[in-house]
Order: sequence, then C-alpha cells, then structure tokens
Amino acid sequence: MIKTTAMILAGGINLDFSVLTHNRVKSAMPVCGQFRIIDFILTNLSNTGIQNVGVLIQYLPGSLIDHVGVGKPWDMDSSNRHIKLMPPFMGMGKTKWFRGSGDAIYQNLTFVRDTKAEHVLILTADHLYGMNYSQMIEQHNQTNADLTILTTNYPKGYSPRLFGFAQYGEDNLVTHFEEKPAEAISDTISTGVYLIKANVLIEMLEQLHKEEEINHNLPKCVIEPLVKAGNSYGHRFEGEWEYLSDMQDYIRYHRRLIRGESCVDPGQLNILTNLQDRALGSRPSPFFGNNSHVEDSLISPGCVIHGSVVRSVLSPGIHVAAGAKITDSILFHDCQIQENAQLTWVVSDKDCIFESNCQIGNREDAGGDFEKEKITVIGKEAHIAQGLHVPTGCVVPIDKKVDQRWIAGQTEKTTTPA
Amino acid sequence: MAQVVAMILAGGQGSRLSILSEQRAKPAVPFGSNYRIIDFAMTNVMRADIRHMGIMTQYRPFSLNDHIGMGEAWGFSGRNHMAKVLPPYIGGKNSDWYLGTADAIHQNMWFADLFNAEMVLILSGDHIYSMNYSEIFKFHLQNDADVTMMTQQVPWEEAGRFGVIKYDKKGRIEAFIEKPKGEPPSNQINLGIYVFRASALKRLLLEDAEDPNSSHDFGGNIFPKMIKTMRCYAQEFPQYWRDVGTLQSFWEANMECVNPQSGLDLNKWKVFTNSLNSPAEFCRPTHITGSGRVQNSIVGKGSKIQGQVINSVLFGGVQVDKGAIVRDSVLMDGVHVGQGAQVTRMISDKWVHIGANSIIGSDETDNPVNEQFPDYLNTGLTLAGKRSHFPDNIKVGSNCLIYPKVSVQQQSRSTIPHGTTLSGNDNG
Repeated sequence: MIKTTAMILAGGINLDFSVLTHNRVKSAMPVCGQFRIIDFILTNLSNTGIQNVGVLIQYLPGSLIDHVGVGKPWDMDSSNRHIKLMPPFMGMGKTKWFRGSGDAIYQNLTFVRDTKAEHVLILTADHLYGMNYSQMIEQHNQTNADLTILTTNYPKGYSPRLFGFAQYGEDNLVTHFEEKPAEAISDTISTGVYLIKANVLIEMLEQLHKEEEINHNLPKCVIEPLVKAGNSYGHRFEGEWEYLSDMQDYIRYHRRLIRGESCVDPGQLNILTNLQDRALGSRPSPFFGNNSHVEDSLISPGCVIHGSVVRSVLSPGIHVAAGAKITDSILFHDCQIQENAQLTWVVSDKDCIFESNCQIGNREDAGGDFEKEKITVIGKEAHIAQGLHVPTGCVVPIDKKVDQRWIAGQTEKTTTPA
Repeated sequence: MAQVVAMILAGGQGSRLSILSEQRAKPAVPFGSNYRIIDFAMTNVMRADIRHMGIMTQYRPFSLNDHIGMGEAWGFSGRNHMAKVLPPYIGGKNSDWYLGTADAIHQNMWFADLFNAEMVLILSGDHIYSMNYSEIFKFHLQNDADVTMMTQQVPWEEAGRFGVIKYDKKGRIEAFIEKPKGEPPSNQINLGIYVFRASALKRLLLEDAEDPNSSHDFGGNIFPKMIKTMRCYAQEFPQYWRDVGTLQSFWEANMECVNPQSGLDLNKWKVFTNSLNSPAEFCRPTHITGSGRVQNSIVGKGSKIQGQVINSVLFGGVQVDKGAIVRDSVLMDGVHVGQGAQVTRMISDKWVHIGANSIIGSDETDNPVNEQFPDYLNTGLTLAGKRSHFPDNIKVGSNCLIYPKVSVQQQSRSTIPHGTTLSGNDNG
C-alpha cells in the first residue's frame, strides 16, 4: 500500500451552532445521540488502513482531545499505527497560532517527513459520510496525479460560498477549481478531501512561505494553483454525504434519522466511537417505565424514561421523570428532566437540569414541520428552576441558572439560534 | 492498607442453565441486556481498588477469555494492575483439571504469592450483586481473622439447600454446615465470598491437597476443619444478591432488572463491562418507531422496536416487528421477532429468528415440564439456543427447549407441544 499519511483539519472556529460550539470545536459535537462528528472521518481512515493520522487542533479542543485520545476506538493505538493530536506550538522560530488551513499544514510538515509519507491525505473533520479511501488512493497513483480531489454533487439549497467547486475535463482530470465562488460554476463540489503527493505539497508550501503576502487558506494557496498546473484529478464520491453548515442543518439531519429517511446513518455505516466517553459502553440499556410513552425516537444507553418522548434524539444518561413530555427535541448527555417538565423543539447541551413543571418552548408547536423560529437552545450545565417558562427562541447560556428575572430580561425579539 | 489479591472462580459449567451455558462458561452468560454475569464480581473488585486479580477458568472458556482480555475494561492495565486468566495446566506436581473450588485456588496460589498478598479474596464469578469489599477487609483485619465470609438471610425452609453459617453478634462463627438436614442451626447462608489470611489459606490448601478423601471444596472440606481451631468470622450482606444457577432464577434476576423495587439497580450500581467485542452494528441508539410501544422493559442499543415490548429484557440489536408482542421475556443479542409474533416467558440466546405470526411460550406456569430435562426446565419458560430458527406461524409450548442452530421445521406439525426438546437430530 502506498504510504499515505492523513492530516485532519479540526482546528477551525465555528459559531454557527449557537452555544453548542461555545465550549467545543464543531467536530466534537455530539451527533445521533452517542457519536461525535469526527467519528465518521476517523472510522473511514481506520477502514482504509491509514497508519499515521495527524489531527490539527486549535479552537476549544478539550472535548476532542478527550474523545480521540490515542485513537484506540479506531484501532490506531498500536506499534505501527498512530494518531497524533497536533496543537499550535511555540518554537524558537516564528511559529504562531495557525493562521489558516494551509498554515496549519505548513507548520506541521515535520509530521509529513517523519512519517515518510509519499502522499498526504488532507481531510476536513466535520463532514458526515462513510468511505474507504483506497480506491481514491489507487486512482491517484495510477494517474500519477499531483493532486486528487474527492468530489461530490453540489447539494441543493446551500449557498455556493460554502464550497469549493470543480470542473471535470476528460478522464477525471480537474480543469478548474474555485473556492467559495459567488455563484456555482458547476454541479460538482469538493468534499474537502485532498490527496497530494508529499514532495509536491512540501515544496509548494515552503516556496509559498518565502513570499511576502500569503493566503493561508489551503484551497486558495495550494489547491487552486495545483489545478492550474494541470496535473490534478478528481475522484467522485457517489454515496450519501452530509454537510451540517449550521444548527438548522443539524436539526433537519436528526429529523431524517428518526424518520428513517435516506441520510447518512452512523448505525448503518458502523461508525466507531469512543465507548469510554462517560462510560458509554458500560451504561445500562435504556429503561422504559410502566407509564412511559416513547414514539419515533432514538434513545441512547443509560437513559431512564418514565415520561413521554416523541420524535426526539436522546444522548446517553437522560432521565425523564413521570409526567415529563419531550417533543421534537435533541438532548445531549446526562440531562435531568423532572416531573411534568415540558420540552418542545429544544436542543440542549449536556448536564442540564430542567426542574419540575418548567416549560421550554411552546407546547402548541409540537409536531408539524421544523421551523427555526420554534427552536430554543440550552447551553451546557444550565439549570431551569421549577415552574419557569422559557419562551421559544431563547438561547440559555452555558452554566446559566435560569430564574424569572433572567426570562424577564429577554426581549421580545426571538434570538434565532442559528 | 494490606495487600489483597482477588481470585475469581469462573470454571464452572452451570449445567442447570442448559444450552445457555453449554457453549460458554456460566460467568460468560449474557445478563441484563448489556452485561455478562462475571461483570458484577469484576466491577466490585475494581471498586475496591484491588490491583491484582486471577480468574480461574476451565469449562468452555473462549467467550469468557475473550470478554476478560487483559482486564482493561475494569481498569487492569499498566504495570501496577494485573488481571490474568488462569486456566488449568499440565506440568506442576499436582496439576490437573480443577478437582474442586479449593483445588482451583491451591493450583493457583503461586499467582497470589507473586504479590505478597496478606489477604486473598475468593469470589465466584456467578453471582449478581454490588458489594463494597473494602468494608469487609476492615472487619477482617480488626478481628485478626483467618477467614471472613459473607452471609445472607433466607427463609428458614430454604436454608437446607445451602451452606449454613451460625455466628454470634460479634461475627465469630460457631458452626458451618453444608446443606444441613432437619432443622438448620441458622438461616444465614454462605454467599461464596471469602477473605482469607494468605498464610492460613496456603497452609489449609496444602493440608487438604494431601488428603485423598477430600473433595477439595471450601464448603465441604476446608471450612468444617477451620471452625474449631481458627479465627473464623462472618458478616451479613443484606442487599440484593443472586446466584443465577437455574433457568428460573436466571429469568427472575433478569426480570428484577426491570423491577424498581427489587434492589437490583443497574443504573445505581454502574457495572463495567467489555463493550469492545460487541458488534459494531449494535453501537447506535435504540430506535422506537412506527407502532413500537415499550413498557417496563430495558431494550438494548441498536435495537429497533416497531411492536410491543412488555416487562422484558432485550439485549443489543433486537428487532421486534410491527404487530409483534413480547412479554416477560429475555431476548439476547440480535434476536428477530417477526411481524405479529407473540412471545411470552421466553429466554432466547443470541441471533434467534422468530417467524411472523408465531406463538412462542405462554403465561401458564403449570404446563407439562420438559420431558428430557425435567429438573432444568419446569417453571413454564421456553428456551431457544443460539441461532435457532422458528418459521412463520409455528406454535411452541411452554418448557420447550430448542437447541442451538436448530431450524424448527413446520412440516408435519405446526405445534410443538409443551415440554418438547428439539436437538439437532430429531426435528419436525
């Protein structure tokens, strides 16, 4: 197998998920109850048999570091397989916080050299899909390409400014590439996965850094020039590919999951996750009480349900007391929902306490289609006191002890979470 | 704190569990939707911060060895923590298949000696309970005991089935009688949990090994010898404890997982298990969908429920199709209950297929007992072995035993009468 070293870009700041990414990087976000977004890429790399993986981290990496560890869940803790978390670092030279994706790679070219890579597989951390990259690597080798871009179809309804667009010529040659254009130049986008010859990448980045003005963005400083140079190919990914650009995408994705609609399903793809995370693997199976009512929902281990859960996704360890009603919601780990509390169209981070009889969101909104105006977002470790009504559209900050005064302080305008 | 080494006896077959323990040792039998029986003892050892543990295996140990691994799941990793599986071995002067509980320990005292342990904690791998062993060590040391054993009260009429221990208010043992006939001296029974002074244990085992008339059993041989001359103490353990040695007690204990009053509280006990061998396809949330309704049950990860599940324990990856009703049952990994099927009081091993509109088991408890194994299967349960297959529309009575991999053919009969056993050869 051609020696390919992978580098995952997981350092970027992202504030499109409201308080859910105020304390963690996007790729560490819980998804489908008991997974994290980065699990997809890590599982793919494990299945491909990549022996060296570097994970570039910067923005709020704590959860990610805990989750990835030494890569054990993805078979990477071994004498000949390694996963390395790579934060920015001080050196004697001018090393700095990563100034962009290209800069992050440049500052870690030692990793590329040390692993004796012939090719570098650069991946974005936070896309959801299942894939074995072997065929792409095979094609890259056969064509003797300097660069192979993994492409997919441009998904409907997204702004072109979110993607890089590729144009195919003959025989998988990519003739044109433009990053985040004002308008779509084709029906084909980059998945953010780039396979580049190691010596080409090294030479290019080193040459670049001799210049005065550098664009530190990888697609701009490396991909676009390589495509112009004429030896860049594309490999088409035909499977389901999910891009969660914001909170709304996140919610819509989970609604498709619970309806069993076509989407990227981590269960079906056998996505591997860290089972030591809050003792996921040892938690007892979810318990459904005598008077519980659960409909069209995904319930993770450690949950104890005595109340009602409808069209919702529950992460591990959620306790739903008798009389409580959870509808159209997504709740992260170890929240407590006490007697008769009602949560409607709520997205809640971990460890929140909803005391008895509190009401989050608007009961009348239950059911029906998703509309962003219906959503209320609760930050990690928030505590909602007894009997309080948190109006639809509020965003409860991390750690907040919500009382009547705080609610009164929220203005009439609905703070859209996304 | 004095050194303790834990030794877990996990070599038994548990023959009364029938096909559940035929291809795997009893401690490896799946339990409570997410665990194996040995997880309870292993977790208790972990909680007491005991760093060295030997697990004596013998009967069909593959599942067990695979499950234990190096003990990592229970924190036994690195230089200072060690969990070792100890099988019987050829080569030692007295080595042989284990002749009894005392012999198993005797043949592995070399392991306990490695750590210069002052105390040896001897446990069975077969029991369901959550116990703080640290409290017992304190009691043992305070009394300068040679042995401390744990007991539990049972109804007087039951006591005769067990090893019975009589002890005074201070815990000093006055009598130990294995399965007493007539009026038992006490209704405190032996739980099979012993803390020994290491030097005393060693001496007793050596003496016992020399005795050709001994059956090398703690209850039958070692304790009766010790009571008169050594410092033997006992302590009561009033909380939930079960030896799931029979099909009925196995079923009852699983049912107690879904009874909040039973004292068996999986959420409170926080039992650790090795989840790494669990199939990857199970590792996803439980999906209740369509007309799925679940009442008073636990349903394992990766399961998909579109029918009714009442008062049952479902393990990982169980599929209950639309219109099916599962009641009072224990269904292990990967079981598929087809549309409209009715399953009652069933214990099913892994990967069993139950055809659409079939009727398995019943809630009557007084039907004819199993003809071939009347002592094992006689309380109205129906038992299906791993990978057995039930076609659509079949009706299977109570106390039936279907062997692993058996495909129940419909052919001449669409009803399998109460008490039938279907093994590989006679079928349909």
